[in-house]
Amino acid sequence: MILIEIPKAEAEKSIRGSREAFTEDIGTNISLIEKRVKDKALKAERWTLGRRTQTETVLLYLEDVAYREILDKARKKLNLPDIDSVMDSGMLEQLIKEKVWSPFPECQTSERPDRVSQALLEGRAAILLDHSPEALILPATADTMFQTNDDYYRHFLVVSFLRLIRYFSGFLAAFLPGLYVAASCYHTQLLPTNLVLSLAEARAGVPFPVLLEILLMELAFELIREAGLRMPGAIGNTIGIVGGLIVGQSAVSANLVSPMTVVVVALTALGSFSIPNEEFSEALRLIKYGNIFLGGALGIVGIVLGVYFLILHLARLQSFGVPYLSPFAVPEVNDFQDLRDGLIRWPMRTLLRRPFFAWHRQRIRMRKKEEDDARK
Amino acid sequence: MLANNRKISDHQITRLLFGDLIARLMLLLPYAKAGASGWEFLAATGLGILWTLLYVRLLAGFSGYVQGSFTAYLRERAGAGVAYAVDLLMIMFLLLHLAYLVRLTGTVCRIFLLPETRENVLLICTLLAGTVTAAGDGQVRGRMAEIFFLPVAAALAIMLLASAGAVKPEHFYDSSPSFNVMEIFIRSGAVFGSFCEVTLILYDLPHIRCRSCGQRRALQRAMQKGILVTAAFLLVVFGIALGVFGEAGFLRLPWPALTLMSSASLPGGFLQRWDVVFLAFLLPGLFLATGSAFHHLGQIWREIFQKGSHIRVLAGMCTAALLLSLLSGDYENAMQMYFKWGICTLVPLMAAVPVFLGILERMKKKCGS
Repeated sequence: MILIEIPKAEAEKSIRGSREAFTEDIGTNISLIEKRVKDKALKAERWTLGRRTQTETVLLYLEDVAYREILDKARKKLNLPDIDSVMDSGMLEQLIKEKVWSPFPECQTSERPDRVSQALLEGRAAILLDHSPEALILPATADTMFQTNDDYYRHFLVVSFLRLIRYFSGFLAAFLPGLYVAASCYHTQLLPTNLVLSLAEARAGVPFPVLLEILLMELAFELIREAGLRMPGAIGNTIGIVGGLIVGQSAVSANLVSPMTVVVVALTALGSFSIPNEEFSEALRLIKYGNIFLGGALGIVGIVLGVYFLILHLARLQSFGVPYLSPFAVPEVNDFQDLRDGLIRWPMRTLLRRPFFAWHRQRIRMRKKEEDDARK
Repeated sequence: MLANNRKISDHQITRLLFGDLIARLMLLLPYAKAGASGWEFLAATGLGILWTLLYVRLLAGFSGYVQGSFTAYLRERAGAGVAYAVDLLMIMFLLLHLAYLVRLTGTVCRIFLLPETRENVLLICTLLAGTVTAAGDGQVRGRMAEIFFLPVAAALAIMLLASAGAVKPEHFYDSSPSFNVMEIFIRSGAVFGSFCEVTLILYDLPHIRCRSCGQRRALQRAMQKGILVTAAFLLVVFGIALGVFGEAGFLRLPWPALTLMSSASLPGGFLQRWDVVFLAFLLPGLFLATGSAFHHLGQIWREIFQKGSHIRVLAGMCTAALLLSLLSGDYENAMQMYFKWGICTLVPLMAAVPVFLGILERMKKKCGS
């Protein structure tokens, strides 16, 4: 018997709950899910992808809970064109993506078996690939990208507060630099006189216009981030500290950037790190640059246009037939019940229904005791 | 399937009406106050809203007779010529409506937000936002309206509360108490005309799926809810503006709602210009309204001619609207053109179509039974 060590979750850390993460062996990964969902309705459909790699792939779902049309779509998409290799779930994710030009992910990735099990119980499906320690959960919505698994392990008031913070951090990640450029180039009258004066004082001697200054700092930050990622553990951390503290401080001392710009870039970075889903966070990081230019060209009108086009794009997106902006854009679909687990989370006892991803005859997740007695 | 049914729900219709109407009417309706007293204007607005609610009831009742598209219904009942004429009437109104909307957005943005930017740039941006919105199908507009409803409504409510503190009760008593009934009646017609773009819902009928009760009742409820929410905001805004500026000030201001917000102060106020923030929240409403107008233009065009790719039709309409708004020269001209030709000439005809057809259908039904 070969004993495989189960690693700890690194990319999706949580304060409460299981620490286990997927391994690179698909059999072990399926066992990790079966260990949590002991239900005969749990089905695994096997596929072999890649002409040369023959990568074993499994589509997991709860037969009576998953929405059949979502499964059909997933099966259809897994019938890939003749391709020589599928090395990782990231590659498969791109191959089954519908809107290839959209930076927003259509599947949610997770390295945590408890997250995937939870998704299966909600009526979603998961795709596991051999040699890939991340599962793809489908369908995904913008709302699921702001949720973590320990959202269900902690008190609802704390979780609701944290979710609001995460949404706010998403806004910061995408729009803060653009707003800063807009406010300092066009709408200084918005800010109190004292603040405007201190901003002007701080910027005295900086040779670049605000737009260029913020762009340079953002790009410098991307450099530090990329360098930190590619370096081995300890060196990576050092680069982050060296880059963040020393380069930032030196740039301010050399009058290359103003201290306010450093604050804005740091807050934007914190915002992007607070989003639980890395792929979603990356998409917001990318559109941030568009918003910087919009803010520089049209001030607050540009930022409103940026927000408008972002919502418009997300309103058009769908993941396996499910609107990307659900439940907010289609609240009535599950009789407004999905809003109980959206921007804020209601107490666990009131989450009686599964989300609307689930087969409509299997939406009841929990029955109140008296209802149950009456049924008996 | 879950997403791709190309339908909008009754809930989304309520939100869409709010999104389409709130920003435009908040900035347009004060035009109807010229020459009237403050109270007369408020009374006319209230009466106009009442007309609109009654009209919506008729419209929803009539919608029950329309199976499939409105143009197909017109062709079947009144002949191809009438269908063609009604569709052309709608197109003419929508072009005027668009030219006005675009000019309004451009002018307001230039005056309050970007005084150094050329207005034409802002016109083009608005047209772009509208065209891109209409490039998706109706359900995308519905989702957008759902998303924008809460932030826009919440921001409006907070800002109204913030500015309510500046109301001086004596301003209400200072206002001339005279009520010229005829004057109020005429002005209420103008208010009703401003709401009358709701007629265009007839073209959306094949794409509406109501979840609650019967289709006709649910549609009526959804539309009335949307209008009532919008109306409540409008009446409160104008009421507060009258209380803050007094009658003389209120009647002189072209956009009392925006000026009102510039005087708003929030406790611990950090920002100095709340009108900028307020306008930033109104802008999505103006973009949504532009998108809705483009959506209906494209839809009606394809109903008439049954050809032309969606994008090409939208590009053509966008060019026409841009030319019209450029030809109008400035905001004042665009508004007068819209008021004279749109609200006073085309809207009564537009409103008469479903009313007349509804009466005919009823008579036919009675005779038949």
